[in-house]
Amino acid sequence: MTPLSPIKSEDLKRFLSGWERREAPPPPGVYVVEELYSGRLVEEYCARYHLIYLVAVYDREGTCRDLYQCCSSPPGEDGGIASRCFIFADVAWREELAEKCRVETYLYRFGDIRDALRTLLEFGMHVKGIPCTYFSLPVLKVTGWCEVDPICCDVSSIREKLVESAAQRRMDTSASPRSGEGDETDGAFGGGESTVEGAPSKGGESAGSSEAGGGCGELIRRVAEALGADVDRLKTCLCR
Amino acid sequence: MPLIESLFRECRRREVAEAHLRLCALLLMYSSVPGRGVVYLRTTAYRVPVQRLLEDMAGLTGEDKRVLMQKFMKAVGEVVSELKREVGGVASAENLRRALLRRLLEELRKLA
Repeated sequence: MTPLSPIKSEDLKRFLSGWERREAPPPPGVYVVEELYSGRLVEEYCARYHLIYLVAVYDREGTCRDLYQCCSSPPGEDGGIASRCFIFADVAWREELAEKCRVETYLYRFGDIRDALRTLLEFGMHVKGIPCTYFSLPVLKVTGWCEVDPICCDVSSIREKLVESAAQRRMDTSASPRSGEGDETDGAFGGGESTVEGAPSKGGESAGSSEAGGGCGELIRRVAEALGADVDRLKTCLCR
Repeated sequence: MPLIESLFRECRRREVAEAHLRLCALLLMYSSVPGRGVVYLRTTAYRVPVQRLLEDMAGLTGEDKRVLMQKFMKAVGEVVSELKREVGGVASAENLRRALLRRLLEELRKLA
């Protein structure tokens, strides 16, 4: 069993060509995925694979000489942005992992914050196969992903559609037996043209019901006569 | 995930379950994944959760339950086969949840 899915090396190489690689823990930043792996799985993973962190560094002016160091600078220095570094990973970094895991951090400079986040999003979804709902909602919104794939941000419309389709189905199923004036006893009369005694008559809807005139009781009497059967016994059998 | 739970609640309606069997089977399977640990993928493991779902459904006769149970288990069996191909017969709860969620989102996109 694979405790966690590792990234295929060929995918990683293709995607990360041009990224700066460091064998170091990730710098401070904001994680774009909310549901990260935790617990014993991380240790099992570390026993087999490297932990990989992708860091998209937002550097609009291109002033960062050392991307890693830029992330470490206190937030708010760059025009009030809470963070300039956005991290994609399976596991939130913590100090004790340094003893157990080999770590690789990949950094890339982005002049546009949307590009930075979108790149991490695409890596997560297309290379790692992470469901879009695992990403934090602000990230999905900023990148415009909610417009591309609305399911990722809100399933309330789907819920309505489920309810609607259920209601439609209920209407369809309840409508179909009514076309023959739905009662199980109708079949016994070989045409379903009458209502059962006591049930409201749909007089005029079918030739049979107007012909029967007196409703179920009258029809049973006539059928009993034709068959030579006992009316009361026939009623007991059919009108239960 | 509260949104998933709200969708799963809809599957307690007979009409929804019958109209969206695969979606409801996926929602049921997703709701049954434990928080952590290892999961042995077997169709029969979902028999009891399906039974519970059917018990919550109003207005089902014994025969209805039997028929719906059969349909549900068929849908579950298909998903289990797919998952086995993807994550293997034994998977971590985390990976299973991801794999199920990917399929769930595909189903929801069809509805959207």
